[in-house]
Amino acid sequence: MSIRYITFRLFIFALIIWVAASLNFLLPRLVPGDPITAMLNRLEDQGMAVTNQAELIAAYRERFGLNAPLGVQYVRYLAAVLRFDFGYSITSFPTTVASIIAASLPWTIGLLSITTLLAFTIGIILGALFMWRGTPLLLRLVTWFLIIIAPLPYYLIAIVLLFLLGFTLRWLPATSASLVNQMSGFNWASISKIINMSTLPALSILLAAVGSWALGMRAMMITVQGEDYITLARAKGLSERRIMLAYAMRNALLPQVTALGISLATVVSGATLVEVVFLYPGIGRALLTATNNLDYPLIQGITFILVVSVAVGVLIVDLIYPLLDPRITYERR
Amino acid sequence: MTIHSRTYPALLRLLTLLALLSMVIAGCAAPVAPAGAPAAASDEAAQPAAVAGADVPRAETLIIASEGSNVIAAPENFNPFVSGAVGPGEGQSVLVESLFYLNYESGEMMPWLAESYTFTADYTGVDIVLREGITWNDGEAFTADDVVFTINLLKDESLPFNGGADMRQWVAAVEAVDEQTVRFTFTGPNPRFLQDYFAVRISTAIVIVPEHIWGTLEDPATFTNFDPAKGYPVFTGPYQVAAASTNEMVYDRRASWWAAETGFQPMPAPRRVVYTSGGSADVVAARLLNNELDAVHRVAADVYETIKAQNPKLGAWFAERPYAWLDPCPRTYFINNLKAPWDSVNMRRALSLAIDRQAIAAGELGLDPGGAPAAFIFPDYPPLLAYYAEAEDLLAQYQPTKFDPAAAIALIEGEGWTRGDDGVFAKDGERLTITWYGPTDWVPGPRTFPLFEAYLKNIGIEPSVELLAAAVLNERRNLGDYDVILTSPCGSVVDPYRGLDRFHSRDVKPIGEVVTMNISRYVNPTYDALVEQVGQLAPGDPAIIPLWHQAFEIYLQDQPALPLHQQVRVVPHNTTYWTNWPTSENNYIHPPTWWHTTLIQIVNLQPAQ
Repeated sequence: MSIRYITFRLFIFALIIWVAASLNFLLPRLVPGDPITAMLNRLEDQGMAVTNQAELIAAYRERFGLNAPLGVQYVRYLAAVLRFDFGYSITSFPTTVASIIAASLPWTIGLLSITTLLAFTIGIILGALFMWRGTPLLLRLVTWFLIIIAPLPYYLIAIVLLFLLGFTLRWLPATSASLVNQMSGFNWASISKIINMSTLPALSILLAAVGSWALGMRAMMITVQGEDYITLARAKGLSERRIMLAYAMRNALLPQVTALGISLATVVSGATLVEVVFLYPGIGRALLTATNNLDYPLIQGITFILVVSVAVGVLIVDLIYPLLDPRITYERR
Repeated sequence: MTIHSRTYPALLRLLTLLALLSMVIAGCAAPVAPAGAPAAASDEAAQPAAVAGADVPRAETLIIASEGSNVIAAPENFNPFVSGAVGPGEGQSVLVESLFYLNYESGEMMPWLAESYTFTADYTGVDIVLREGITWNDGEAFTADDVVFTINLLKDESLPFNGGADMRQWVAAVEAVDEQTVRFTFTGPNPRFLQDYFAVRISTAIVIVPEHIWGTLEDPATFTNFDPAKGYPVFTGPYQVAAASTNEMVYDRRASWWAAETGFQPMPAPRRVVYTSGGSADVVAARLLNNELDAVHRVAADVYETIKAQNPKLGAWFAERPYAWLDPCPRTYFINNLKAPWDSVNMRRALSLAIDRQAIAAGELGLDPGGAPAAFIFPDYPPLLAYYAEAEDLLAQYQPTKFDPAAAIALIEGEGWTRGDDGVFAKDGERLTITWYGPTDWVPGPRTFPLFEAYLKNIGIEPSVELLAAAVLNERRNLGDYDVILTSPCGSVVDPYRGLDRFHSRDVKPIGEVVTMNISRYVNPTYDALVEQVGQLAPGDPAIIPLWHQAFEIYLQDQPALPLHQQVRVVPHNTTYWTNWPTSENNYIHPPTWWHTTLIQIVNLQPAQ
């Protein structure tokens, strides 16, 4: 991989970030609605009378710089973004956007990266096992079941699990509402509480995701089995285990790893509806509330983080892929 | 081509190992936190109180839930003057106290932080005497200086504080006559000053903050008032913040409270109060059934009936149907009086005649009957019913809650509209259309909005009935971009002034400019003058009655808005762990658990054992 390629790739990366940031700025402002009035009317909905709202609206618009011309706002926004300074959230003023993201992002990343990795591992193992004649019927049926439920939206599975395991059988807590407040530092009690309260959300996502990985892996294994190098390996007298692991699976894994890389990169976006159903303190709910209230700074902050992480993830996958498969090169011949 | 038998055991071993590992982890975790209980009665040793504090048994914890999956917007913001902070529905009620509390049941203003008050003869000022012995949570004395400081802080024009505009409008000067006495001088007569701002007339009152902390701040607007190391937030209430997150707020009882020390009130029984997001309606119902919640802000009546049958420990304001408590904010739709053709009174009256208020009320509550039809934007509280009684003749003459689609059609035809073949009225080539808006996250919306659509079509109008996201709805409401829009105005509770004042034209502007109070944009100088006169008389003054009669007659003649029905809501409580909840039989206070008055309930609750 040449320096030229890396430089070019980094340039594309910066371009993607800039375009995404600009769209991120523009699109919320094109949607009808005004975040300041949304914030103030929230109080009215709770029964409090906020008189003389017109004054407050003017004062807040001034504070958030919403009166400046769009071009000026855009330049200020870009400058702030480069400093990773997203300012104050409108709806939660004076809480900063950074603190809201910092509080919720780790939960989402934790939940989704673990479930993605688990789904990937279990999925590819189940997919690979399809290719062995002696795999027990039960395991095949389980895998087929998982493949069949894969197209189901994960939040439907979430609701079913919630009522089955959370309320009827009461094996697991129904909501993760008190998750954050139960943390008492980095000790076993906290970790076990995390596991206990995150199992239902994780299980919903897991059950929905495993099937796709299994199906993909099975397909790749079928393709790879027909390759010449497998025949040669057998002819050389290598053990089946070695052929399976070092030759077949390794090649079948390549497209799966790309998919995994991209999948991990999108982990940051979270599984919003699972978070809503289980009241999980992740970033999906924060973004949902922000969008509903047109909280510009918060929307911009969260979306920017998402865009950057996806772009970084894809960049990493792009750069390490040639290491996984030496046949791949980006040079022109 | 298949895999040889020797590779299978390796993969199967790996799979089995993963499965076993997950079961072990789940198994270890399960006994630590019993299903759903946020503060478990647990076998584990008390954890160091880094965040949540010592574990408190469930029987000593009070858990209040809001309906819906809303995120608590700013869980670590206790600045009581900015809009995003922790509000009364999220537990601010257990931290702060008010000078007075208006008790809807008895009609009296209960003195709390204040002991008594004296208005000047012409209501241009008031002296408030504070109770002796009140201390802030950090031990400093609560004195008149704190009140004066707070009012002056609010009057500061550079700070975008709620209540600031009102203080600037009414308070010419405020001073501390002595340690316990605050003297207000108004800009004009205002007999309702205390009721409006210091008595939790609806939901909240102005919160007094300590001068010794807030006086040192550089920018009070960005002060979040939260710092556990320093003991912030500092208020006077009996609880402190133990843990805060977007889903749940946990408050622990303090070791001492000024009211208990002086013998004014007993120390509240719950050692811990938790305000939590409830979840979707089904989740809330299931949690109530499992006794994971002690109170919920609201549930639908049909849901309540179902779960009460399974859990007899549940209760509400009434023991029998309709179970619901009468909310002070009647369900009202405002008509845009500046927008044709609704600038004509006959068209507005036609809208009123087209709607069957009882059907809407029943649809909203989920049970028959729902809230009673409303003639004006008053809740049917006894003091206000007395005013209605003085206007019986007007109600008989104008019949504002009548349901008569035929009469509605006749009125529209009288305005020159003719019905086309498709049943829709048209005039000069223009069809009679209407935009009708409500909020999208409002539970009864999907039940009642199709009914509106049907009623409007029935009288030949082509409706565009929509439920909108908050930001869009509020913008349209403020800018006058609608024909009819939902706002449930909270105003009068024991006295007609606030309700009448809602239609005063002082803040009316042309469409496209922000109007937030008189949403009908109704202008009538005669009406304005009458309302202003009412405002100068003390609540309960008999001279109000003839003024009320005249003003109400003008309102009925012009019908600028569509009050539909009383808002009733089922506010359920659970007697499994706590008893002595307020009910219609035991009405020591009104039941909302999302207002500042909730503190009075908490002080009165008793453990169930």
